[in-house]
Amino acid sequence: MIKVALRGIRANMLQFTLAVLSVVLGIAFISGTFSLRTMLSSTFTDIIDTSLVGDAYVRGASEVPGDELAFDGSVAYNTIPLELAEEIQNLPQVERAIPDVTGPIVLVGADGTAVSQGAAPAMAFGMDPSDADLGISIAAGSPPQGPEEIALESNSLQAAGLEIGDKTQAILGGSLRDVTVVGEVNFDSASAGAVLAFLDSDTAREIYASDGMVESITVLGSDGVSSEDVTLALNDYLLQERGVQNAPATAVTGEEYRAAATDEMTAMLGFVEIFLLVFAAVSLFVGAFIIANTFAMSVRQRQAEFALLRAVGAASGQVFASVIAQAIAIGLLGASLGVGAGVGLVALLRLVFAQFGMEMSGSIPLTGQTVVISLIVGVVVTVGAALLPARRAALTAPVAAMRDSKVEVEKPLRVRGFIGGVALTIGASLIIAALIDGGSAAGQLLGFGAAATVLAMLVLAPVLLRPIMGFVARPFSWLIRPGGKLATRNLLRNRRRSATTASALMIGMALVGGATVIAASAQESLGGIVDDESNSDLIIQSTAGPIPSEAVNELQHLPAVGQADPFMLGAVKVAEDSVPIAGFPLRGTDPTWNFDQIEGSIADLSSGDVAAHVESADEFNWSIGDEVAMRGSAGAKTVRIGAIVDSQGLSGPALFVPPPVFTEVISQPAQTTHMMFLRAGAEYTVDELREEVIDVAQPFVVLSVLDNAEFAADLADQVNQVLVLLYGLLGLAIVIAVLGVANTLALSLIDRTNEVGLLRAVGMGRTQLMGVVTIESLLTALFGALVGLAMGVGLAAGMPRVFADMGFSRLVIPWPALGALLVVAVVGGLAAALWPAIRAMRLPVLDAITAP
Amino acid sequence: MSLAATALQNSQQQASAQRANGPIAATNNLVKQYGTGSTTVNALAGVDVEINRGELTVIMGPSGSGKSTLMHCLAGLDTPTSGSVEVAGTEIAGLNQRQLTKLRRTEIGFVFQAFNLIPTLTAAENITLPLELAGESIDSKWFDTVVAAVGLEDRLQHRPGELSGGQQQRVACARALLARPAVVFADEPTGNLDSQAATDVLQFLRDCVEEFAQSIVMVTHDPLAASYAHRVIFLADGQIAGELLYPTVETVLATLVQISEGAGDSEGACNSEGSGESRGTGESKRAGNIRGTDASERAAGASA
Repeated sequence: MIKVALRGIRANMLQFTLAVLSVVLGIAFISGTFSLRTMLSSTFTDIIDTSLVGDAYVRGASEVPGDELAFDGSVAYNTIPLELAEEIQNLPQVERAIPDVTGPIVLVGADGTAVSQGAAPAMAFGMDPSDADLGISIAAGSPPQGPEEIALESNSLQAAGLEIGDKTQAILGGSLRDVTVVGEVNFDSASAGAVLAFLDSDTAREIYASDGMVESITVLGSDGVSSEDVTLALNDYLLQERGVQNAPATAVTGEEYRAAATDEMTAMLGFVEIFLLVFAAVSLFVGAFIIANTFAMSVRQRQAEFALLRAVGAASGQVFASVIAQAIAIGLLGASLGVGAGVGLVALLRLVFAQFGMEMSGSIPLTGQTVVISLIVGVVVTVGAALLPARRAALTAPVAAMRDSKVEVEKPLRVRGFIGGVALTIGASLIIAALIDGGSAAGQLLGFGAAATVLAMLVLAPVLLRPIMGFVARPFSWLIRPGGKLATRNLLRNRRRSATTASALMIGMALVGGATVIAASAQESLGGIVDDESNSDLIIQSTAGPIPSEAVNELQHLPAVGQADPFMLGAVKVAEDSVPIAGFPLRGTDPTWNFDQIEGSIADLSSGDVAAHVESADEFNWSIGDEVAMRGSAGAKTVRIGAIVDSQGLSGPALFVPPPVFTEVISQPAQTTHMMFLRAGAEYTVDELREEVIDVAQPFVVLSVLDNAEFAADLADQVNQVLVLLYGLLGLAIVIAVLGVANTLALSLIDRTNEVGLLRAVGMGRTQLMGVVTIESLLTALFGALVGLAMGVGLAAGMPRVFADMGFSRLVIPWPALGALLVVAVVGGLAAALWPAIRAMRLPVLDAITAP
Repeated sequence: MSLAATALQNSQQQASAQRANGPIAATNNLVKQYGTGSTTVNALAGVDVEINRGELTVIMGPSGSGKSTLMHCLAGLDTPTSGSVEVAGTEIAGLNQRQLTKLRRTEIGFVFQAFNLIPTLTAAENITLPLELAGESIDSKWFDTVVAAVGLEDRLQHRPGELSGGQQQRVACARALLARPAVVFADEPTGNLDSQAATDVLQFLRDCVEEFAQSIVMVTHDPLAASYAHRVIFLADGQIAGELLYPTVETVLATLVQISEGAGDSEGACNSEGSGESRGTGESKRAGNIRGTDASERAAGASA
């Protein structure tokens, strides 16, 4: 029977090509995702292994709140004194102890703009001439000496367009400095686009360790001492000599330290991976439809063959097994090709990354695990999709060989309609509950409601086909006779099949349509928030890192400035919770930002009082007059809550504290100014203010000076960037959906070969035949797109009401964008029709009529 | 004057106005080969045949005799290897796809053995399909006439799946007639029908010839079906093996036996004047069995 199964595939290769192709696409997505992850993580592991070569590391012993933007898995420790390095240097087990002095840098490239590549950071390191031990060596020129010299890693040098001897500028430690590039540094791993700069170690200490504290110390052990022994000796020393101090330190082995760094990286990559795997799941889901369709049709066409097999003595189990064997073969073939295609995709992606200056590791990103998972998923999905058709083949009666029953009678859709109706009712009730309730569970209710609605629509799609076609197909039936009518009837002939074919597009379009509405609403809401809440004339932002402190200082002292309020972010611990706080002047009169004062009044705050955001006040049960004990990286302080405020624009921080309090609890390197809000002084116009501000901001390269409208547009741009990424990925889902439509069309045309022959015999021209096929494809695409978009837009429309208090205040339905999506569907429909239509057209009339 | 009679007159006038009195279709040294080299099969080995206007012509022959190939070539569904085929005054050997499609639309009607109707269209829509494809208006009087002739007035809105096999074939006949083609080709139209349904369809085809002067070519291997014809052309091994005018079941059977017995000299034997005897209506009395008697009587009635 295995032989029969394999011969069956070969004889029907064309039909199975599309099934294989759909497996290939889904698996390519999965293996590509895994390979991409492997490549990224091996790149970063390389970086970690190359840059962290110590036998042991000394770091802070107690956890402190990290960056509020950090991903899960990132842990920050207290800083430790720089001079600890000199102390442990004296231990016999220690060859060298080097404090890790490092921090952000903004380097001005040859073109006068900041050097940056993608989202990769720009970092500067203190460099000791003997750092060759640490995987860093001077490739050309000389090491930096004194505060005005800098060395750059080879790729960074190239990206900056600079050469040794060039003079440029850099923002170091919040101030703009003139520097000369004196050396090129060799770094033994791909840098993944990070800009790496090196400073004289005294200069680095002055800039990044001005308080005498560093995050860690790299320790190299003496010859013959294992890294465990070094660590033990270090910990003994730290416990005995340092004891309990306010900057507790501990030592870990190099291996542990690198593992922790790798874990942090993996957690970040995991987020990317989940995102990509969701799309892999969507594409496989769609692929499974295609496979199920292929098998269903191939089984129906081979009814006579199965009946013959049964008649000559094959048991129904053997027939079942033969179909399943075909599925396994197709799954294996498709998955193998898919793994290859996935690797190809990643190789392509690497080239693209390289174009943007992000060098990736050169290792082949394909692991045995990836191959095994891909093959298993491919086979399981294919076999799963083939189960029902295989059962139908197995139930073929031997006498069916004598009958010529090609006319399919569609089973009624009543049960389906009922189940779908129930699911839709549940979904709708959940959404309505979310809209009415609006409480904390509303988001979850909306999520479940949306999921139930999407599932319900998938179930209901065949039931909806006829009524929707009543509208959509009418113009075609009127304009193109009799092609429009024939195409419409063909679609309605097997409503399950048509709806299933369209469902891929439906899901894709629902996601894109929903995202488009959400994005447009978000943009409009952001604009609204800026309008309502910003009371500034100008807003300063930095495109790379925080606003340099030197710039903040200069801006505050401009003559045209009335108020210049820096908005600083940091994190403190309150009891056991990590709480984000903002350092921001709370002004009773002429504020730069309007807070909605829920309780108490900002004007009545006593000096040192803080304001709590209303959401956090609810979460932590804070009320006016409460004392809150904050512990930050610089120290602890207890403050009194003087007001409870609401702001949708500045909704991140739990507490707004006056800048003097902020600088008391947050250490200097962590005091990052994210934005500045400026108002013109009484005698100055906004234009005069802008002129002065631009003069100050320009040399810093990374600062943008925006008015409220520009600021809102800038926020909208950020939303658009996310949207573009989403469109790119969903574009792939649509490609798969189009393949699905083409697949169903091609197979159903094979199914109706006799009919095509008959039509041609009674006078249908080739063009007319292609027209029928094209209209069928278009109608399928339009059905999927219309239902999908309606669903996406409908569900997205619920978002603003439910998330109104998160700043989602306005609903915008971007009709032109939705229209464009419909056009995409039409183009997809046309593309899908091309191949099946040409095939049908080329069919010789006589062969078609007499086809078995 | 009845509608049928009007239609008859119309079509007769049309026929005489547009066409000469020569054959409606003819082949000249028609050769059709399949395959190449040592596996070459001569399906048709030089066939000269003329199909008379206004007659029901049957093509008969054993399996593999080339009868279907001959019809497919006549109908423009298959292209000859060599020789010429003329249908309604048009030489079809050199026509391209577009011209062939146009010819099929306007000059040729088809009735196939199975799968004659588009399952998604109603009976009425199936009947009007060729005219719709041609973008021509439908003569509703003629439509009513044809539908009445096949007796399908109350089944027009049904889908093929809701019709019996005989009804389906009658719908197919109506479709073939509606465009008033020069010639209708019927490929084993009764092959899948029970005897009563087959009789109805055959009677209808014969009536079309008598009432509407419709030229019809039918391929069959059923002597009973052949007995409805004006003329039977016998094929064997890709060549004309004989011809019968005004056949009965008995003469058809006898000729078939003759052909299979003496394949070598069959042509001469069957073309002898002796077969001319079968034109006489009195031949039916010689019928040896009931079925044969019935058939020949019906045939006689039809020609009367």
